Order: sequence, then C-alpha cells, then structure tokens
Amino acid sequence: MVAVGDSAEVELIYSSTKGHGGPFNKSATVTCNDNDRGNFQLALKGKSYENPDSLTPLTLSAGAVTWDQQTRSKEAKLVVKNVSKSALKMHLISQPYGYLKISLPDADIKPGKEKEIKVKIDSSVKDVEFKKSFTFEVNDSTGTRYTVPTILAKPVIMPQIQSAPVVAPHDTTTKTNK
Amino acid sequence: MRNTILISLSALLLISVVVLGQEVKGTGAKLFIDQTSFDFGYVLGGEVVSHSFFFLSKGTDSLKILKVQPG
Repeated sequence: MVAVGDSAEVELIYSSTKGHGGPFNKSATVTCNDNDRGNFQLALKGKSYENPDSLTPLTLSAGAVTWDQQTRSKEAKLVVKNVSKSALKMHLISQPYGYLKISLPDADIKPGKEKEIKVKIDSSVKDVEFKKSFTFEVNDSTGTRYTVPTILAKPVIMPQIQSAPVVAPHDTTTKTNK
Repeated sequence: MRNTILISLSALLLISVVVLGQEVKGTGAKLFIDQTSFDFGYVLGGEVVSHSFFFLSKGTDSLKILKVQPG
C-alpha cells in the first residue's frame, strides 16, 4: 500500500535468451485500485546480442560486470571503444537506485579510442547477492543504448568434509608353524 | 462598475465550487506515472536486466498495486 504523497516502484526483470540475438518486446500488466486508470501496461524492449565486440558505435570489453564475495568491494572497469567515425559522448540513462556508483567518461571518446566505465557496489549495500543493470546512451544519430548487467554472485557454500577414522594396517600374511 | 465586479466575483465563486465538486466526485486512489516503457538497447544474451518504473500515489486514498502480470 502506498500512502498518498508517497512514491514506490515496480521493478520488471527480463532474462534474455542466450544464442537468440535480436530485438525483444515484453510487457507486464499492472492492476491497481485507481478506478479511473484501470489496468495499464509497462513495456520493455531492446536488442539481444552475443558478442560485445560486434556492437556499434561502441564495443564493450565485456557484456556484464560480475563480483563475487571476495571482490565485492573492488571497482570494476569496463572498456568501451569507439568504432565509429565520430567522437561520441556517453550519458547515464538508468541505474538501480542505491546499488551502484557508476562513473562514465567525462570527455568525448574519439574514433578508434578507448575509455573506461568504472562501476563499484555502493558501500551501503548489504545484499548477499543481486542481479541489477544500468543503461547508458551515446550521442550518435540514433541514440544507441547499452544495458550492462551487474551481478553480485552469492557465496559458495563448501560442503563439510568429515575426516574418516584412521584404521591401523591389518597384517594379512599367513603364518605357518614348522 | 461595482456591479460588474460583484457579478464577476460571484461567477468566479460559482465556477470554483463546480470545479471543486467535480474533483470531490472523482477522488479515491490515484496513480501518477510518467514513464510506462523503457528501451534497454543492447543487452547481452543470456543475462538478466531490470528496470524500475516509479510512480506516485495521489488522490485521497492509499494506492494499492494489486497485481503485476507478464503480458
């Protein structure tokens, strides 16, 4: 329940299929107690790809950023390369509120040059694991967007190995009395 | 002149009451949302991405999100 004057969010999660590159369009129907609005739809769209090296006008060094429990406090870096003929500038479109500190290159990326995107998990995040993403856009003629999944992998629980009891070697030679 | 001002004020008061009356009739929970679609652009295949749509509760009653269904 959202009190009058308060705000809330509906988070939609999309799991893209590996090996099936191409456009996708998904939607969700929301029902609420606003009688004038009735049901309404929230829509997601995008383009699934397989190889970060094949993108234009920017290629990415990786399609996702992943931390584990040992690296969660470290800054991750994603290298973007401008493979177009024009200088490009990036700006952040969307990020998960309160999860990440994202630093995009300030200056233009010249044709053929590389820059880094720096991503760090916010120190206030207590989640043991999460799967979130951020979206940035470049200022080319079509406003190309890229969404980068960011994953904090859950801790791996090692099975307990119980040590077997030590058994003294048993003498099996046959002794004969002469 | 004075009569004109009095008539104008009365008319204004009448309009305000009528408008207010209409607002009172149409209240209850009200949802305000300014973005109902999102373009992820390029997404690596096999990965999970997410986007949050923010909304505001207006009107005179608390807002309830009763159901969110794919499709």
